[in-house]
Amino acid sequence: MLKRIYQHLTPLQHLVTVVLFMFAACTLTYTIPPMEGLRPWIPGEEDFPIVRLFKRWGEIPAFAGHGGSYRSTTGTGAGNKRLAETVGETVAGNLGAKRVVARPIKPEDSVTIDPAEYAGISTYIEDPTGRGMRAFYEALERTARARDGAITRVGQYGDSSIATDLITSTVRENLQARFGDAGHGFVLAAKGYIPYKHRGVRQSSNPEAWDIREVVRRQDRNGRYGYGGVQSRAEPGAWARVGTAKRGEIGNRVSRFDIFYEEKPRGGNFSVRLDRNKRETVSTKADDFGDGVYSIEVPDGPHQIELRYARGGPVSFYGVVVERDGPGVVYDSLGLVGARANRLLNYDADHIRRQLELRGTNLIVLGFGGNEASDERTEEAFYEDYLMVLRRMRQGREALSCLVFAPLDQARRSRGRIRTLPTIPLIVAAQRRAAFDSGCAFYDTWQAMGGNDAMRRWYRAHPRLAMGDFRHATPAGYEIIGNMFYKALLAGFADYLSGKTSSAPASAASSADAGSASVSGDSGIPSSSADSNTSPKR
Amino acid sequence: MLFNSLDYILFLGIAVAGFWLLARHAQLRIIFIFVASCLFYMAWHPAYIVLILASTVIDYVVGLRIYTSNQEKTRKRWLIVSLVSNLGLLGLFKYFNFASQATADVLGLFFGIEIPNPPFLDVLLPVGISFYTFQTLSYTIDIYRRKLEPTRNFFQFAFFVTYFPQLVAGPIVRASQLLPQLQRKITLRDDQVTQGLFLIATGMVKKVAIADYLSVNLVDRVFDQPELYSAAEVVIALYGFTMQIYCDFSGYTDVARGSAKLMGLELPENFDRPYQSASPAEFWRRWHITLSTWLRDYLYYPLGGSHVGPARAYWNLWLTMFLIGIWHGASWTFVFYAILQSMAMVIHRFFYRRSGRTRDTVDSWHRHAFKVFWALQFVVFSRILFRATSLQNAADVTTRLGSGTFSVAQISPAIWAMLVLTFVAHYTPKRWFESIELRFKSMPAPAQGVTLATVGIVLSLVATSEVVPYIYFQF
Repeated sequence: MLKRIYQHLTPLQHLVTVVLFMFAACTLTYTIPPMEGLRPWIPGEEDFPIVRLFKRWGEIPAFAGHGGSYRSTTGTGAGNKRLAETVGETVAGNLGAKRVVARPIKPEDSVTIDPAEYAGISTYIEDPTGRGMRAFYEALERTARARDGAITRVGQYGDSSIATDLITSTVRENLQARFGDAGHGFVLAAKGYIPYKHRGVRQSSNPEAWDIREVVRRQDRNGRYGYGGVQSRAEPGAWARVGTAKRGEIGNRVSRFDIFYEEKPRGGNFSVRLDRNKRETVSTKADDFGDGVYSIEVPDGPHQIELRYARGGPVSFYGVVVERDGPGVVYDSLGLVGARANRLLNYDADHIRRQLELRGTNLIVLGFGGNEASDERTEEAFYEDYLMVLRRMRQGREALSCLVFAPLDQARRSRGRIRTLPTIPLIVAAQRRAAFDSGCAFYDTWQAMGGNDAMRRWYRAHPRLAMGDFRHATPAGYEIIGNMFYKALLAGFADYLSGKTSSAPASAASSADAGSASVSGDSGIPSSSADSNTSPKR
Repeated sequence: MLFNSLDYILFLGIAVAGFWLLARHAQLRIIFIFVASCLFYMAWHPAYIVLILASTVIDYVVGLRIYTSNQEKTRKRWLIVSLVSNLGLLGLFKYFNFASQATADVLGLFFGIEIPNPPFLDVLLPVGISFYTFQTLSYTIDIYRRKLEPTRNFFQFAFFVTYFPQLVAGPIVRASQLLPQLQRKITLRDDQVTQGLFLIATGMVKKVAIADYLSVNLVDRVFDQPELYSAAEVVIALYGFTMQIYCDFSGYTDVARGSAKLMGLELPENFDRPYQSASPAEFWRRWHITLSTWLRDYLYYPLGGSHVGPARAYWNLWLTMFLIGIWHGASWTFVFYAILQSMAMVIHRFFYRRSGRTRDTVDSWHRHAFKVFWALQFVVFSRILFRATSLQNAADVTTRLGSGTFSVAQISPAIWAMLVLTFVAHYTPKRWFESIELRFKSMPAPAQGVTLATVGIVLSLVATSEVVPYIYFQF
């Protein structure tokens, strides 16, 4: 009977009936408690539909789906103003920041940092013990003073946000423009099929001929993954090329290649060819397992080396260092896609210590937390992990500075809104505590982005700063983070130069008050690290 | 206001209710929808309503002037007023900055003249300007050609220009298609109710469940950082974008047509399963049909179409296709996209004519399938330029394609399932979908209501967190 009734409805009655039943079905979600999660609109939490649109005029981006397209808008005052309205002036001001090129100074001259160079940030390096960054600042001062061959080396480990080499390349280019270009630093010899990027270095290989063993996946039972956390094992026919970039002002020259490889009792041979020169054969055979480095000095300029599996037993590479004679800075990007910090515990302790010594690293930066954000764990559990990792990596060496780089804001969609994951504040707090308890420094990336719900604002920004997965930034976003972090390093260095190693997060005011920080001659140089930072330990 | 939002559903409900409550007051309900359309537009950016109203007033006056004038010179002068004002606004807001930057680029590249800060107009691109500009132009041009009588009712004309379902992303409705519907008594048929509701639901599913999902979980990631993906994953992302843009745009059209049907009005179809095309020419006959036919009728034919010498005919074709390409955006990527598409059309025409084929020539099924396959590859790979944010981005994506890497580890099973399902669905017979519509139609009204509510709730659960704007808004 009902069907007959419905069949005799006029079209308008039909439409009204449909709408009424739609409305009734939706009303059920407000009356039946288990259906609460299905409500199309939450009173009190969200503004009234339609009305809310007129409350946020202009917020809806005019352009869709084009994250990363930021070059056209940077540099225009109005573009930056529009960006600042969404993400704040501090963040917006760090997009497209101009690099400061330092004037060469003599060893006896003062090293000065103009506060204007690090203006426009609100988050600084926290180093309450003063021990976290000292070795790095000492090395950087020697580099800034242009001591012969003084190279400052930084290695930043991290997850996918680091693996893109967008944050690290920004910091690298800033530091190299400011303190000198000592080359690209460490790159993997061959990456096989894993996602890996080092910008400005030409790399190629035949991926099918390489067996890749990652520290993230615990694929080597001896825990020997090399400095970069990836062991590239060559199979017959394997080849890999590493060379300087053809374009760009920074990083297109090299004066030394260091090939890091594994020595082992049944190790095979590999051949090396520089540019079009004759091949040389290197044996990786040794009495016991160890770490070998084969160096090739070249005239400073654009070069390329080719590695080939030669014969004999297995040959494993850890990576290739592309460096120049100093003075200058090298910034190694050591990102591992999908990594959690505790994966570094897969390293054999002696092996990683030896690798860091061979590399001559002055500062390690650990930038994890993005993947841990999905783990349902307590702050204490995160803290224990980070503490163990920091101990494993630093192993009590004061000559190695260490800094924990907090994760980017990580968010998820929840009821139509982008919200920061509840684990993020826990991870940040745990990292800060673990860093300080290990005598390391801390940089609060999360707070620098804007803290809670920063990802939502970054996603809405134009140009878009966050990707649609709410876990990663766009290239523009990474550039901002890189610029902010560089400035924080510079501010910390200025504090060090003025003899004020901070015991709490430095404030903009204190940094500004410091004026042009400077140290003349050798006075004021702390003596904890007597080693020159010219050459790595071999 | 975006279609894929609760706001739009409520707004549509209010608009449709008001429209039928004022059924006995023809003029009032036209004014009501005109005001609603203005509010709809102002929800995005209030200031730009001035532009669309200015365009409306100019073309209303120009239409009457052309019609009442007997002198050809005067008629032409008024037509020029319409062309200059409409295309001038479009050029200023959409193409000025690109033209400025492109001039600086060319001067720097070829003549070594560096212009560090070329003139830059700091304005947002008014949403839908490319659509309503073409609509109003069709009105004045048709009157000039004596194919259409102007309406003396300003609000009727304003309704036509600003009608909210098709205001910001088409379909490009011509005055000759919509105005006659307004001038007679508007009634609602039962099939319009079910078709309208069904179209809105399918449009939402296409947009929210398919296009947004592919965009956020695949396409944006790969195009934002292509170096993190293998060649195989980039290829999959290109297929993903191909499906995303189809579901995005055709989903919008479905919602627009469905919304209009609930008011007893018909808007033209804009898509006809475009990826079933066997050639670039067929593709553009099936993709964004209202744009292709607009440029055919108002540019290609007036230039002489194919009824001129061979060289001129090829030029006409090339120019029309180039403008269709460049209509999509003002950047070097779209310039090259336009060149690629127009060259493909010219080459296709050349071989088509040489082979002596006619429209009646029927291919064997396997030959047809072969052609469909290659036509799809052309569409998929040419869209690198369509989606890339810059030429550098396009080069990065292309470089990854040549990287010889084949891992697909970063493609989730859900993405695989989504791609396979949507492409298979695209190649199924139309009647399969019509049978779903018939099933919906045969349901009693309450069941239809509950079904639609369920679809809406499910979509809100799978929806991306923020409402993702329709890609074609930017055009």
